[in-house]
Amino acid sequence: MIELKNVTKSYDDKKVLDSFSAVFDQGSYLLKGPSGIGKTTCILLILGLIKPDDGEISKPSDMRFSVCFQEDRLFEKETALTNVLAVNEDVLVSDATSAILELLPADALNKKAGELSGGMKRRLAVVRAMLHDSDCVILDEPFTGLDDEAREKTIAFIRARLNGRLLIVTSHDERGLNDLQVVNIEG
Amino acid sequence: MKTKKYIRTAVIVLIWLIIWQVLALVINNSILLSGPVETFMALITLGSAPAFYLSVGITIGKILLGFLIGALAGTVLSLLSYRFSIVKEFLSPFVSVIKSIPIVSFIIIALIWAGSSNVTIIVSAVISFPIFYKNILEGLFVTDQKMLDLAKVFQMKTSKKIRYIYLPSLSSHIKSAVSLAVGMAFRGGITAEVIGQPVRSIGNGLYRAKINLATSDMLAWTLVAVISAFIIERIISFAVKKVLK
Repeated sequence: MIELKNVTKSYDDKKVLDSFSAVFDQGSYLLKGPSGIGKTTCILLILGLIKPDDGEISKPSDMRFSVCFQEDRLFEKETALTNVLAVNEDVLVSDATSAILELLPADALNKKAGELSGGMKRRLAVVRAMLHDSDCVILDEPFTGLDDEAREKTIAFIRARLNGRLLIVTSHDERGLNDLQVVNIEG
Repeated sequence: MKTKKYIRTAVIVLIWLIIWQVLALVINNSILLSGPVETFMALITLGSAPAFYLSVGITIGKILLGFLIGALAGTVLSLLSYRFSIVKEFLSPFVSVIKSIPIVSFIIIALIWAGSSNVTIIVSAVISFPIFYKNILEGLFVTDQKMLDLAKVFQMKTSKKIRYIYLPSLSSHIKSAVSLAVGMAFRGGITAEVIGQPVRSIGNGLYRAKINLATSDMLAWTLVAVISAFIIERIISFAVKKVLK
């Protein structure tokens, strides 16, 4: 379980989160709110990559995360396959290959990440996160740049690969995610 | 496209050789300036003696050894400085001093401490060290923090972080350090030989040419130094490029 209690975070003089509280227990959550409201900040706080100015974040100390950041953060000079394997040492090449092929065309497999289209990069970042052995999967705007068909396939892929892990997704668009528990961030 | 570039370079070199030859003809004094033909003939004469190759080989070997010592020390200390800010603060005045001390001062100190046979190695190392230290440290500090955060979340092993995050970030810094340090090490190393006079060396050849007023020999030795530096720089840069690929 991850709990945020009265968390406040500002960048320079701009308050992004103001006394925000939320609980993420077992299940799947949709972190909702207008653009710039602090969804990504909330995720970075949960991951421990930034510290809150005020408030508390509690989570199991041994909790392992996998993440698809808002930016793809791929190894641009490496192939799609290497991108997945570089952070997933225990995953077999055959498993990584078949997972990539579920969401990307075959010729993308050995292409360098930098040569892929924006939508393909996004899907690759999702594959990389879903294959990682973790307790909690965090996907920050995973459907950006995807058309309806690719979006549906990606949602199906996420559901199939979740294996009971805690899931936190941020998305402007709720289509296909209606069964997720909603956590609203309000300004 | 590449052939066109080579032809253009060759034509430019040829024009400079013609300018050099014309100047030599105008001055008409081989002590003041030997032309390219005379220099080339001197080079052939030098090349007919086995001792010439020994001198060139020894100089290149010593400069390379010094370069490697400097590169290794610069790399290791830059890593330590990146990891521990106290090391960075401690080394900062030392590196600044090394960078600003005139190279002849180092040569004289090296001669007093280690004698003429080791002066080339020491000077090449001292020249290469701050170049590698500064370049690699700068590369480490500009490594994308977002990628390091990714590595942290995914608990990437250090070896993988080096392979996929640090090396791509350091690549251009290492390449420019190699290119700069090899050229500088050759210049400094041969200057050290001219002053220190180790028996078998390019610097010794230059010195002997100078005291005999044999300008064509002096230019031939200079040409050997320039070509050696160029070839070695290309070989090392190629190897580095392959490793960092």
